[in-house]
Amino acid sequence: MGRRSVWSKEKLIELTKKFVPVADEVYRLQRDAGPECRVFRKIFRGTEEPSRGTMQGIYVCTAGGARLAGRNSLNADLVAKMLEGALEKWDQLSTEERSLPVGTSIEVGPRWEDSYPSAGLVLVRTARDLPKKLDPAAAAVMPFNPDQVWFAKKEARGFLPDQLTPGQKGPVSRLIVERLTRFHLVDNVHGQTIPYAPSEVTSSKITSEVTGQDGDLVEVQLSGTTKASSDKWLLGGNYWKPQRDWPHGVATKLLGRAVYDRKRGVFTKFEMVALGERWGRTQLNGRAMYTAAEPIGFEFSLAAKGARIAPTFINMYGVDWVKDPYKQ
Amino acid sequence: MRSMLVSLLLVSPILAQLSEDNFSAWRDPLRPAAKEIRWQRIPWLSSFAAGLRRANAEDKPVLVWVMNGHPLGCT
Repeated sequence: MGRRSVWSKEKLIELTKKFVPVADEVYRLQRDAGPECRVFRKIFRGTEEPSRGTMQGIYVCTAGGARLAGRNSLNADLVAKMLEGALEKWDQLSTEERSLPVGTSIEVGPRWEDSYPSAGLVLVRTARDLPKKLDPAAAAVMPFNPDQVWFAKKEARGFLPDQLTPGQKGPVSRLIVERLTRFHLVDNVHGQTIPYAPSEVTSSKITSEVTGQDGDLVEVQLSGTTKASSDKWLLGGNYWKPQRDWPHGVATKLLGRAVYDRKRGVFTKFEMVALGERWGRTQLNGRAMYTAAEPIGFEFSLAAKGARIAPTFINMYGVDWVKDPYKQ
Repeated sequence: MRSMLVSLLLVSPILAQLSEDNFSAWRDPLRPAAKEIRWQRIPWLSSFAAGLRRANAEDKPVLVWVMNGHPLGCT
């Protein structure tokens, strides 16, 4: 979360009002062949050729393609100085120099976000380190990292028992349990990690029970345990394949509450908490010095409408409604 | 299921923490506090192309923040 803290400073928040602020994923922009990716590299690297090195950072440009500034820093004062310098350059440009050439358009290639499940269930997951003393009050200051969790409408129904009458109980669908355990109950609090294979999900079961009903609104309670443990990479060649094996795992106990509108087929409330422990490390998840088992917590709640950010492991969901932009 | 839960509870005290009684007490600190997500006060667009288009329409420079992992998601 420290990487985002630079934008918490009031001075920077004010300065950004003089810009069109954009946040985007850099790996795609620095590597892919899509039109906006080539434009990105042309402006900030001087060539459309893909970059092997990371282009992470903060940049300023014109719509017309002139680079005004760029640096990779978490120092708010340095970033503010850079933005002010960019504004000075901007003020010296003519309208023609600032703008896209007449008749030009910025095309966008397909993206994972195109598969956003508008009618489905979209959650925000927060993963957070927990204090060793297991004091909830002390948890709020611990590092955290969010992610998005997507379910198509037909998949989300799997959170519920077949019969939606109070007292009915049943297992949450295997698809949901696996998606949560393999991709979202993972240790990426401090940085990116790798997903688990289906066979690495063990001892995982979530039960759903209808606890109340008010017209078309059905209250359910979720409870269960999850565990995923990996000794070696089992998912073949793909974007996430690590350079070596990284023994690691996460086990949790989970509770949740939700309200489902059975007439509309949507969840109107969803909150779920999983507490557990993580162990081991992966290449980039920042646990090099902390591989012993330590407590970790997860919280899931409904995402704001329109927050179309793809889940980290969307390319591993393996379902037909998620369209791979690299195969279109 | 019962034996599995018992074995997990024996492994770590954290797995015995969560209950209906303390659900909210754990949920609230896990959620980001307002001060932790002040960066969300900035109306970030989520794609570079969308930023170029809007900048052209509004005659403003584009501020581009790019990271491994989407900065508005998991980085």
